[in-house]
Amino acid sequence: MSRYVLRRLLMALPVVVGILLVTFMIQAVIPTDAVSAMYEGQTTEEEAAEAIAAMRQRYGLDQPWYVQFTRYAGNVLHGDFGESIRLRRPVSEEIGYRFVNTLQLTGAALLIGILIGVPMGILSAAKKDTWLDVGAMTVGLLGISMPAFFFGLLLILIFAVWLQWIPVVPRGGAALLLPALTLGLIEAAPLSRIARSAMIEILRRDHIRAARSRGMGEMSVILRHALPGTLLAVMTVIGLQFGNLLGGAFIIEVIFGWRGIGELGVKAIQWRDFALTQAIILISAGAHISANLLVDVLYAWIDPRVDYNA
Amino acid sequence: MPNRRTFLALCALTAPSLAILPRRGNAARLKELRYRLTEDPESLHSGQSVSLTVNTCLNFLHDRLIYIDDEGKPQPWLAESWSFSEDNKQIAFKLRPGTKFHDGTDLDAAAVKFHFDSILDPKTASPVRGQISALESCEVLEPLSFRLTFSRPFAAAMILLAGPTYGFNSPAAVQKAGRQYGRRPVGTGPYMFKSWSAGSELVFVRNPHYRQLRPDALNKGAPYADQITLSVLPEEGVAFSALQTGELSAAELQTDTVERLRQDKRFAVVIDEKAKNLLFLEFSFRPPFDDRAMRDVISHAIDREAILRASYSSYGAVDLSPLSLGIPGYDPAVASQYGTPYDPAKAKALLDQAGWKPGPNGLRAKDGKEAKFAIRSYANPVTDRALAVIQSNLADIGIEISVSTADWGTFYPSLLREGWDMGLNRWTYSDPLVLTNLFRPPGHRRNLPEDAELSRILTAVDSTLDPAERQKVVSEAQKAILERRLMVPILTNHQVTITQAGLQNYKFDYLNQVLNGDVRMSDW
Amino acid sequence: MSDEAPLLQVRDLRTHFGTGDCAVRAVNGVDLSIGRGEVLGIVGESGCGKTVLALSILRLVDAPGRIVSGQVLFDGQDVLAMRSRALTALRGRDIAMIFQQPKASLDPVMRIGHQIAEPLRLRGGRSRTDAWREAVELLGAVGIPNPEEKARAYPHEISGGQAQRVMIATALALRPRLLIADEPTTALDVTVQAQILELLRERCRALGTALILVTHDIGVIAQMADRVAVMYAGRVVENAPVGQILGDPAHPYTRGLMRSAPVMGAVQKRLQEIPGGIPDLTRPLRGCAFAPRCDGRREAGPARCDGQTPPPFMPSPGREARCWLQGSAPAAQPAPPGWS
Repeated sequence: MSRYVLRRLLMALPVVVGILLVTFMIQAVIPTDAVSAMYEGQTTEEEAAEAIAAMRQRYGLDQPWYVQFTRYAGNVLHGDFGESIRLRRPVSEEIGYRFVNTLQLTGAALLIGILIGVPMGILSAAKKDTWLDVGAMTVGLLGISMPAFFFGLLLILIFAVWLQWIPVVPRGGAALLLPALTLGLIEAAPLSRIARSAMIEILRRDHIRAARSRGMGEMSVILRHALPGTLLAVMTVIGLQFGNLLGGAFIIEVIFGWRGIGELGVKAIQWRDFALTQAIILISAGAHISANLLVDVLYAWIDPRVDYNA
Repeated sequence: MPNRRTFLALCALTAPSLAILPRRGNAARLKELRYRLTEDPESLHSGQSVSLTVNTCLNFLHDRLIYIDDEGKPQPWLAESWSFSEDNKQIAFKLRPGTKFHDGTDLDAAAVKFHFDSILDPKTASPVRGQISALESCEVLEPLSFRLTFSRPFAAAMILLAGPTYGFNSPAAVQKAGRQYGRRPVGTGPYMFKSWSAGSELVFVRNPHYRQLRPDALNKGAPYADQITLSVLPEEGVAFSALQTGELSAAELQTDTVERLRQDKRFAVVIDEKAKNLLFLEFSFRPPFDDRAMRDVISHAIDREAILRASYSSYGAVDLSPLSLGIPGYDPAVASQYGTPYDPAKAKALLDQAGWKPGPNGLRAKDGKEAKFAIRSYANPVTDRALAVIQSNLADIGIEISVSTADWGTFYPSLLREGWDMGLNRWTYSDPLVLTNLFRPPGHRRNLPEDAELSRILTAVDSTLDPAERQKVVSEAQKAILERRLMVPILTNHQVTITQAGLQNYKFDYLNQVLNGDVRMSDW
Repeated sequence: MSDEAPLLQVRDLRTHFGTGDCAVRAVNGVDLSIGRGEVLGIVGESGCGKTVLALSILRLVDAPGRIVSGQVLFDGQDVLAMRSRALTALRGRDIAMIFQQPKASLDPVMRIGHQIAEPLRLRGGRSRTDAWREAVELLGAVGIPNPEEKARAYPHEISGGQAQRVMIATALALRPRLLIADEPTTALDVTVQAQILELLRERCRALGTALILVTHDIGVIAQMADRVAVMYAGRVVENAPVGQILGDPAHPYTRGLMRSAPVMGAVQKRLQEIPGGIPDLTRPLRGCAFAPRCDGRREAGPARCDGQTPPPFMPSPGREARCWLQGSAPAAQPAPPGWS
């Protein structure tokens, strides 16, 4: 098992390096950089020319891109992700707490999504073509089609303004509630549909029929024999979703003012802040890879048919 | 099927979540004012940022050397008096004695020098440096007196020095905190920094030892509120909701949101009619807009009233001058004489004269070239609506406009390149120096033709210190720009803030800053 | 043949797929019965409806199939009319079933021992350890070597033959009185087939379980069955003791089947086939379903064969056949087959 994991990690390494290289090259092509972005609209470039030149030199932006890249890559290996030009502090400081925030949000949202979506999907499959099924799937469709920002604002309106159950600007732990709920409900929709179709497909299989022929009640059949297979299918989707979520549920983060890396990523791009953007891209890539790896490992662990050494 | 068990399980699940909900109604005992920020300030290190958000925050924490009165004249604040040298390149200031920083240390000339040095220091690479580029050095003359030296007479110096980013940092605090100072500022203002929950909330507390030295302030002592909370709420909808639940004392909102709350007795509307900004159209000076007649056409064809209605729900004023209303030096006579009111008939006549004949579908053409032009702008609901009106205005006279917008960071640099004919832009500035910054050839986007006369006038705007003289020169500048039709001014908008009905003394000064020490709730 | 009431009686069972006029009439009016401990073989070619019939008895037919009418009386109670609680109680405990693809019928992510133990635990009230022990015993009883070890294996780790043994063990765990086996050896090697069949016979005899054996293989029938019901196009066309079916088939279709079976030891240039194919089951049948292919049609008269569905005649006591050749007029009251 550990060899399997190690091998997968090694395979992931060239992917990461490739991503890094491509992003770096893209940024070399873009005409503006963080320094000029900071001065825009504030003053003419002539006046600021001296300051701009000084800043560029300080951050090594006057070097050709391959020089910058080698220096950057070397630093990264030492854990130094450079300094954010806009924020005047090391990138790792800023990214650190934000990544934790995004993890919190993603984790909570995924939990809500799973707890709501999967049972709903299973119930719909069990009561296929009844009102419950149709109702649940319609609601699910709404969830998939509804834009995140609209949904978020809607929830604020309902829970904070009308019902006044929580403040619009929550402090402390309660601040996680609405964004996690919004993201979670949005995630629940595809999860419930996948759970439902996975379960429907499994319920057609021979071993389900065999279990029924032994006089197992429908609920027992579903929970003992159909659920494990369904969960396997759902797990794949969860793994993919997790990677996406980590990459930045940035819309939710921006609406609710949740300081995560997604929100920072949006700002970093607007600021043309290379160091920040680069680090965030690296993290997103890392998140995707890790999530996929985790799912694969879980698969191998749970499903006895999968062979680690393959 | 489970019934009781599920019910109990559900109860068990929901119970803990109720515990994390904060109890409401607790904040009543604390005299707190809560405001909205549209973004998280990058740092609160005064002198190191030109961002409007940062300045709003710094305004709570810092007093400055001078303030600008309603006529636009500098008045003593932390400085007691000042004098200009013969050649107008130096200003000597005398500080009032007895001002202390929040950490108890004294504000003296050394602290002032410390501040200006850090702005000038190339190592800190402060963006403020570019703003006050004419400044060369600051020297201490006596413990409470110092001198600023400029490379040339710099007319905008006083206006700039009144801005929040020229408030002073306690040198002791800066030295102690090092790079972290921006997260723990220490100033001399009515409020002191308490905490900063990165990205979501800033909390300031009242400075009990504060003395307000501005005669135009109502409250001469410590501020009324115990605590100020600034919440970072980028989303307009969320801020709107927070106002409604009472979680914000005041918030600046977009004008269509304002309309919905106008009639609501729970709220008051504060309009800053001293706002100094200008929405305008500028030209690329590529054919056919290198021809003055074409620029005149555009100038006559724009319905400014309609744009004001569409973009700002009429909160603002139409402006025919390149300078904003509200900046001293604004010359209404020049505006009415050389400006162009909405006159589509005249615009059509000018087009006919210039040889642009309407085709079968109304689209004009000259020498086989169709009247199709491109306008660029930055992405914003305001510009979107303004562009829609402009498009229709120009369509009325037979010109087809294609519109493209992008975020500021993409739009502004793109004006240095080809591919656009006109740009819809906007500036916010408090001094006529903006005319020089933008329009002294070759202009802020390097596309203006050489013009010795114009350069002379605009340089004079930069360096004429005598107020009366400067007034004349600024008038000349407005005239020169309008005569040459270098741009088409459109309007100045007035910022609208919605406050809780009980909020008192929430007003804006000349530099559009609030005197925070004066603000209170009526029931305190 | 005993005089007791039959264990299972199927009366005019009809199972359709789809609705309306073009519904597929997979089981088109079947009458059957089986006594305690008896082995009834149901034989017919692919598509004749025998599997659907087997599933219908336990109401295991999935949508879009549905049982349209009829009765399935087990110990006097109509299975088709039962409420779901009674039905689930019936399944496994009174009637059990094994299927054609043994490996597919096992839960792939559950150990074999647990799958056998499951009905023991859930229905039989045994504890975990007791159920496991009994499961291991059952594995041994069906001839799996090293049952303790094998009980911990997963279905993909055992062979098809072993899987079918496991299925048999699981199905018989609660000692049902009737076992329905739907083509249990079709997916297995020929060598394994014989073992499985022998196992089935031995286990059923030991437990006194009646067996309905559905197959297309006459050889299997010959080996195992006491009685045989021959199905064609959703109907039972002949029902007789096995000896008579093999030696003296009454229905032309049965005759055709016997003729087409390869004979051991004889060298045949060409297998005998029954010309034609099964009729389109989406159309309601008029007359005898086999008529288009029947070589006896001319004798009985095409008008009758094509126009009227032959009722079950009784060529001799204890057997019946649906064929106009068996009689010129229908019996006044066709007696249920197999009983005097």
